[in-house]
Amino acid sequence: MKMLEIKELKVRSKDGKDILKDFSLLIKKGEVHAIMGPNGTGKSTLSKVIMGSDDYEVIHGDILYNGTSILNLPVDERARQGIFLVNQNPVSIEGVTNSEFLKTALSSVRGENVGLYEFMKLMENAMGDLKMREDMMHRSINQDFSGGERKKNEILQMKILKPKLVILDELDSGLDVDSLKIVCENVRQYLEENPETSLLIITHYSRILEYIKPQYVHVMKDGKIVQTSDMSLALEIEKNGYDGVNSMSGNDVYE
Amino acid sequence: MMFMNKLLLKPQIYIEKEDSYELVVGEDAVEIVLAPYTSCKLLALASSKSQNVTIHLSKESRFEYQSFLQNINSKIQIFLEGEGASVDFVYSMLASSKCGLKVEVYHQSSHTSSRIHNAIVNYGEELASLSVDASVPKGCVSCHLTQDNRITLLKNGKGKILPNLWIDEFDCFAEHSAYISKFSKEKMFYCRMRGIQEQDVYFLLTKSMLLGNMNVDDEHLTQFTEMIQKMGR
Ligand SMILES: Nc1ncnc2c1ncn2[C@@H]1O[C@H](COP(=O)(O)OP(=O)(O)OP(=O)(O)O)[C@@H](O)[C@H]1O
Ligand SMILES: [Mg+2]
Repeated sequence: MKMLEIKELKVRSKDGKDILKDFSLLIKKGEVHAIMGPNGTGKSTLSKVIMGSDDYEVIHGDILYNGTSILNLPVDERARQGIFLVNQNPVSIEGVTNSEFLKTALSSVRGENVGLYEFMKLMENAMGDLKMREDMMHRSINQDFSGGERKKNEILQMKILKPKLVILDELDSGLDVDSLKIVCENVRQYLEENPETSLLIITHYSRILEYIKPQYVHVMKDGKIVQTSDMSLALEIEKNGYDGVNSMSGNDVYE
Repeated sequence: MMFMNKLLLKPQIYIEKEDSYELVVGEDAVEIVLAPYTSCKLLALASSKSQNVTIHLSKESRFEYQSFLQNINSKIQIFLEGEGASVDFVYSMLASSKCGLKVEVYHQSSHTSSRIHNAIVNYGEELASLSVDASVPKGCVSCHLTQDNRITLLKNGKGKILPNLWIDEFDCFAEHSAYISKFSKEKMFYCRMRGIQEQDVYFLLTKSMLLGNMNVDDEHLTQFTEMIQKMGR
């Protein structure tokens, strides 16, 4: 069963820069994919375009989610259908508490008002799993949170909102060794509990991939995927860099 | 913190007890005098479309003045008369028609301080304005002035901010900022990315802007939150 199908996507920024060039990718239900690639190749752009950011214009191609094009859906509708992006740099919002924000989000996703008692229980459990301090619940979203706390907060939101397609854009940046382990264990457990969920991991390092094993590792360069293989590719990149991997080999392994 | 003491509206109100008060200001001008060495906290609301408040602060008095209003034209004058007097002024307004605030702060003694935070969210199509004047004459040393003025426009409404500082004394600390903008695109995207509909995002961000600075009890918080919620519908 196909979950996400990106077909020959061409994406341009508002100021006319072509960022994604003929980008195609197929992710089936329950699969874990990783995308690696040098800085500035368009990985974050890809994730924001899947989410529906209006900073970019899709000039060719399509994005199908569960078989239907989502290009015309607004951001919030895509989220309610189960697409979830962990941002590379989550923003902070002063004066809106984490709990109010998440309760509003959960009510929107479910389409009905969530009771306070149920919500508090969910929060308590999820925060416990992530070893987050309880006062984080009552603090403004990401305000004065450390880089690592912000990333944990994103995974907290994932656990509460229960998405079906999760995109992690450099989840591992800003996390110390222990936090990375806790966060990855939470993601892995989430996948175990929700076997239909698909995951797309964007990263520069193989470490996160050792915790959450991908079936496919793609290398992206200059706006498109140039190579696809398995976990061994990630290890090779870590060892030899992007110039060291042969971009002609291993292509289309996963079709 | 509860605002237990509801002040009755009189032309002149003299406060000499340290406490927190709630005051509903009508059309008639009100004059508030804070006795020396008194600190108090006041929440000002409105029962008419315009208000006119004058505040006199005596020696070493500390006044925390907060206001949450909707479509009001306010004129507030603050006189820091006694040495060491200070005021914390937080003014939040929801706008859907023409409205504004004019505040004048007169530092008249040394070691006086004023912190002014004004925020308006304009849901309407008309003008919302903030005019803030503060002055320090020669000889009033070690005064401290900060001003932060923000207007957020949701639709095609307009915003105008006129900040003025007249400072005639070198020994003084002053800073001000003024922003007129729409809600930040990044914050909007972040909220919508979690499934929250546009209207609810506006609600959250309005609340953030207007209530983020305020320090009031739950009862008033609920009341103001409901006002914001109604505005969005
Ligand atoms: N909104 C935008 N407007 C203009 N240019 C943009 C915009 N967003 C991204 N770019 C440019 O597009 C290219 C790809 O950026 P992107 O953030 O997607 O890269 P990335 O692969 O995520 O890089 P990194 O590994 O450093 O995170 C960069 O050159 C960037 O400057
Ligand atoms: Mg990136």
